[in-house]
Amino acid sequence: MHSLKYVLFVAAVCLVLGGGNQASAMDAGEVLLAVDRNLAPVSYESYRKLINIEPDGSKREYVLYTIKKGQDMVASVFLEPSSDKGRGTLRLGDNMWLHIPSVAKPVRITSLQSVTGGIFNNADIMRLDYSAEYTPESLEESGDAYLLRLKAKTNEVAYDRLEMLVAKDRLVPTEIKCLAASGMLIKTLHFKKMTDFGDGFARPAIVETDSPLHKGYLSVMIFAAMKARDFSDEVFTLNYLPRIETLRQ
Amino acid sequence: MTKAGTWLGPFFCLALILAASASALAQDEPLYDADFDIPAADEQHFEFWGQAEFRMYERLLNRDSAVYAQRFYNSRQDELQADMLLQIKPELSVKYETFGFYARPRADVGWSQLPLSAASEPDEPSERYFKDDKHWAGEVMLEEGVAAWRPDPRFTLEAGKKVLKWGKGYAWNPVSFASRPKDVDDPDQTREGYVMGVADAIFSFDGPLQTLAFTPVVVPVWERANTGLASDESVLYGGKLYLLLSDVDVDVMAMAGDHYDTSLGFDFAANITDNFAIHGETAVRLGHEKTVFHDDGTRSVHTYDAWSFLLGARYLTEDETTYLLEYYHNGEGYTASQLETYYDYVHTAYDTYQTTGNAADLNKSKKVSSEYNRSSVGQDYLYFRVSQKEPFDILYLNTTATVIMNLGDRSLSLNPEASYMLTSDIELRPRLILPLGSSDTEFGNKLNAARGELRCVYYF
Repeated sequence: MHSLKYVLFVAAVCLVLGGGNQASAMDAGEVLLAVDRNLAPVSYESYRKLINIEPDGSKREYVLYTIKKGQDMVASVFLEPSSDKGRGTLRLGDNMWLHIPSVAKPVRITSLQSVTGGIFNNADIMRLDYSAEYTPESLEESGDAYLLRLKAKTNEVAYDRLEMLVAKDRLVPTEIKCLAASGMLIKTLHFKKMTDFGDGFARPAIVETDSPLHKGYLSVMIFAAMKARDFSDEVFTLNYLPRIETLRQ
Repeated sequence: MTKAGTWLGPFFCLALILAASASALAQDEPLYDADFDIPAADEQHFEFWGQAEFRMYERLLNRDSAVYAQRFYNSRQDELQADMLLQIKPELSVKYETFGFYARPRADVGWSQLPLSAASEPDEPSERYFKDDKHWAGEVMLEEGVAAWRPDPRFTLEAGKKVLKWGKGYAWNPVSFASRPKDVDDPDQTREGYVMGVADAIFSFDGPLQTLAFTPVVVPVWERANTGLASDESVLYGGKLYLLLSDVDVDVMAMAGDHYDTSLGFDFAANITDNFAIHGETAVRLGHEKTVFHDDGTRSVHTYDAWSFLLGARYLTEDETTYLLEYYHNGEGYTASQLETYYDYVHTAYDTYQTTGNAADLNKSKKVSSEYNRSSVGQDYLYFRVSQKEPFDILYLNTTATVIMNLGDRSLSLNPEASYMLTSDIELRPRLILPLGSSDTEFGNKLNAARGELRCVYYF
């Protein structure tokens, strides 16, 4: 992990000092891998606040605790508001389950569904590494940024194509357009407020999402206390899902 | 309580709505606050939350039903009846190192315009709290209260009153051997647990078998706890083996003990495509005893191995419409002709009472009413539910229509409902339940010809 960070750091320095010629030395796959690692450690825990803002300015807020391990294991639990408290989701690759405390066993859900209402769907909340779900198709340079075009590896992914604008200096996305197979724009993610989370890890703390399908609505995801943490595989199981909140320290 | 009492409900809801509106109007701030406090997660932490719910019912009685004839044969009731319920359900959780405790007590206060009596049998499980006073009823109970020891993510030991959630079915769970049955009209409602000890051991692997989990259970039955789960005092032993095998959830479960019918079960769930999932479960209860009522007013007990199964599918469209379909074969239930025999007997007995004043035959039928009047009493059912998330782009609104059909007699219950989160703390849930069927069918003999209800839920 530390060696990868060092490589990325050197690459970033080369990019800043060397300009476009050095930048073009990275291919699309390398940029995508760097983006993934710069957005989150391989295994981590974090807190997120989701805010749905309606055209009239009224808003709803949700707080989640999220853990992730490796390429394909993610679990989240709602901490606030109390109407959603304890609602947990688990993702193992393409499999997703939802646990509602009052209801019987966790039920299988799909990436298209929304657990909060608003623009966010399960795929946004339970996102895996981009490189786990998408294949890079092309990389273009555009001023201080790369334009990375990605294609979904399978039909199970919520968005068929992504157009990712990546800042050359830090190799983090500034904007991602999510497109349907038809090419229709479904939503746009705007990455903001570069924040140091400690231990040398920095990433945008805010992701604003708007959609032409929901004009006037804005969904915001704010990250806090994101830090590397290792978990045993058994934590990412249906049996453990109702107990995810007990992992908070 | 007088008729005036029925105004309390609407006033209560109106007050909640006004309070929420005032809160919304008071918002005059930046678009959003980028900072937020992380809810406390100290080593020794205590959490308290829960919900308070006010329900108002308006019901139109089916005065031609068997239930009405048995309960009110000598005291005719008005056709239109009102009910109210205030329910408070706090939840508290304590965590200290590897130990934890969770409790969910429940307090109910209900008023029913319809006279209540201890002798009357409930028409639906959700009405079981009405049992003491003529019009008022109250109850304080512990739905769940569990102490847990979690020395490792792979192992958990729990003891206390717990709801064991076995099975993949949404409306019914034939494999849920040590749990109270769901209210088929309201399967998402929390339930009361049984006192038990439960262990949970989880193992993860690479390869087709991703997860293996074993959950052994010990359930004591004695005069003060778990009565009704076995026919006499005993200790029940059971367990569940869970496998995530090639992306398919599989469970195998068993339960046995003295004075208890040994039961075996199996369930599965899998996603066929991204938006289409299937599930199923099957259970056999060995040596099940069923009381059968005959057309001459006599009863007999049949002993057999009762086999039940459920098959279900769920499909989600791009517009977030969810279709849920379940077929349930209840091996412990009654055939359409057995139910028809019972209903015909009750109706004839009621006619006899009206002409002669003799209620002997009605009293004979009452002796099996706890079996014959319960929910999902038939053998074959279809459950069809359509949910539309945020119709007409109205955020936080969900609309649902449910049909529950007894395939044996083709009677059904039609339940349209809506759920709207007025604020993040207040939810409104209007609902209508319309049982439809002729006089010799299950749903044609429900106490209510129609029931409308409005729930106001406040989350704290």
